[in-house]
Amino acid sequence: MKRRNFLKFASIGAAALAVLPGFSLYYASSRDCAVDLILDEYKFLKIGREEVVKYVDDFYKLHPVEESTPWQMKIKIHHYFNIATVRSEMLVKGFLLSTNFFMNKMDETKPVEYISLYNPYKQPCANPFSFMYYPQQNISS
Amino acid sequence: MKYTSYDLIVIGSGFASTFFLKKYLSKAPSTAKILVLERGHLYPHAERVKEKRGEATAFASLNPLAIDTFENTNDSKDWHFSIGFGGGSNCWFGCTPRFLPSDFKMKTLYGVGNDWPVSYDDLDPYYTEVEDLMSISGPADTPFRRTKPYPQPPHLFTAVDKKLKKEYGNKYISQPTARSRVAVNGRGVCCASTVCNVCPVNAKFTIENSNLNVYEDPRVEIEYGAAVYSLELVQNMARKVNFVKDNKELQIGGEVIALGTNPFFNANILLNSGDTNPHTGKGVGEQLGMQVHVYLDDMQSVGGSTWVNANGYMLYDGDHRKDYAACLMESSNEPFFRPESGKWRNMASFRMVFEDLPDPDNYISTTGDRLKPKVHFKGHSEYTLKGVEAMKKSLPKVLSCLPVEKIIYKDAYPSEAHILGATRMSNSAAGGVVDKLLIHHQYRNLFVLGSGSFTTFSPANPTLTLSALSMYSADHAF
Repeated sequence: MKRRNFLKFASIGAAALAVLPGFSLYYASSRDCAVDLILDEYKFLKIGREEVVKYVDDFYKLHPVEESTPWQMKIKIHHYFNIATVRSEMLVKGFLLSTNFFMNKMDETKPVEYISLYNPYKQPCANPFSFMYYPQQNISS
Repeated sequence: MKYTSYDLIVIGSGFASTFFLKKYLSKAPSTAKILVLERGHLYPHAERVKEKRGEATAFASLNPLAIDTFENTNDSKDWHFSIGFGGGSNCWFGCTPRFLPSDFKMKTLYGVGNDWPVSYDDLDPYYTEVEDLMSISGPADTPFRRTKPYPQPPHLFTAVDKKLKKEYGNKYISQPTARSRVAVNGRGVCCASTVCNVCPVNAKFTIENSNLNVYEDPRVEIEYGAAVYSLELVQNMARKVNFVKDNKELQIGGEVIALGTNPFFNANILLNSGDTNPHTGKGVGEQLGMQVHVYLDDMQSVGGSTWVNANGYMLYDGDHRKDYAACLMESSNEPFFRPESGKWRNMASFRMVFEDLPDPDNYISTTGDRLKPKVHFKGHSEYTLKGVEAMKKSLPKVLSCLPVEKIIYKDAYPSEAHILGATRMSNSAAGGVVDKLLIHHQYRNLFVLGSGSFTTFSPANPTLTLSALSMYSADHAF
């Protein structure tokens, strides 16, 4: 390949690499990104995609942020660039608290099933690490 | 209003006002005429829970949002409080450690700040009285002297707390708290929901659920929606209170007047009234708090029974306070976890709270809106910031009895929700605004209650102390 052609193809390739993620970032649904983000965070657990979809649907009903541009950007950027999910903690951490995972005492071999959104006002005393789930007689220092 | 003048007019209905009234009523004659002017309205607990559940309630828009009631000149600093009947009791988290005796003697012991005109021993019986009235849960063994056991048993430790308790004895205690351990007076039992600003099971003490019978007393009349903006000060006496209600300008006379709003508004009312004490409005501040996550190897932090299970005093008192701030540790029981296989709850989390000293460059001024103070806060003191750095150096050793993998220091919180100073207590007008009974140095029938009176800013939560000060004041003044 002549040097000129090589440079031409290389430039086109580089431009495509730069633009395509931008397009997919723009057109991807933040809902799908949110689901992927959660599945990716907990990829070592047995979680069916449908469980996360149900959770994200309920999450957006309670937190009407789906149409918010800053929220969309945050979710998409975190997803596409694989950024630690600290800033999406409410979404990502909330998923596991809304499942049977902690009731199953964090048994990673059991399938994780969505129950309902974690909300202390709808289910008081649901803190899965409290004395109600870990009786004192079983706690040692 | 039933009368044209009153024996006592109290502005506000939060902790400071309510405990002042509680003691005053126990001493006042049956003919006493008392008026309470409350800017907001009663927003019942059950309605607050409805709002939190996403249900509609007509009460939600009754009271102004705190953020709309003052001008903040510092975008990086938040100030959290609540407007309405019961004041801060509607948003506090119910932490009630006493101050240490040394907190009242910072100048004598450590050469910083000033000594308070009152001592720990002066307040001790009033601490006990407030603890009984709030039905506080707490341990038998504390780093501060007590003459009587707490009315409720202590909350339960996590495994991590147990280990630290074993290591540090009475320097690591179950947190004294107004979050009930057992049901009392219609309050539920705290079950660690950790959303204490509005407790889902009404376990936290509030003025609404207090059963103190202050606002039900036939001598007390309460006017809601009454926004006080100034006092009429004549010949070293406070004669009348000026306020707005339903867009009407109103004025009412009182023999004795007590300001029981938060430090922003107490200072604003005094400044609007022409108070010329050079310390009025000066030295507003609060403690500095930051979260520290501690990752543990092969140890789970489970089993606690409330939001803050424990207080650690290992970095609190000592000669280091000559150079840098004391730090009070709060062991958190929130549902935090690590997203790591097999290590989900191998983690502890502590809120580290640092004391501060009042600085005249942090102050309150008035604005064109007489109801709206302006808050100027340039930042925490070097004394406090040095305390943060010292803590980072000391904490690994303090926690060395635990199997620590990693310590993660988070950024400081923008607010501790504890507004302090601006009308501070002193022996004379040269050093502050009010005397040891919280009476204004110049206007001798005017009480300025609450945490605005604090001479220095202990790392311990202020509510118990400001409530005890109110009872001490009313007991000695009447």
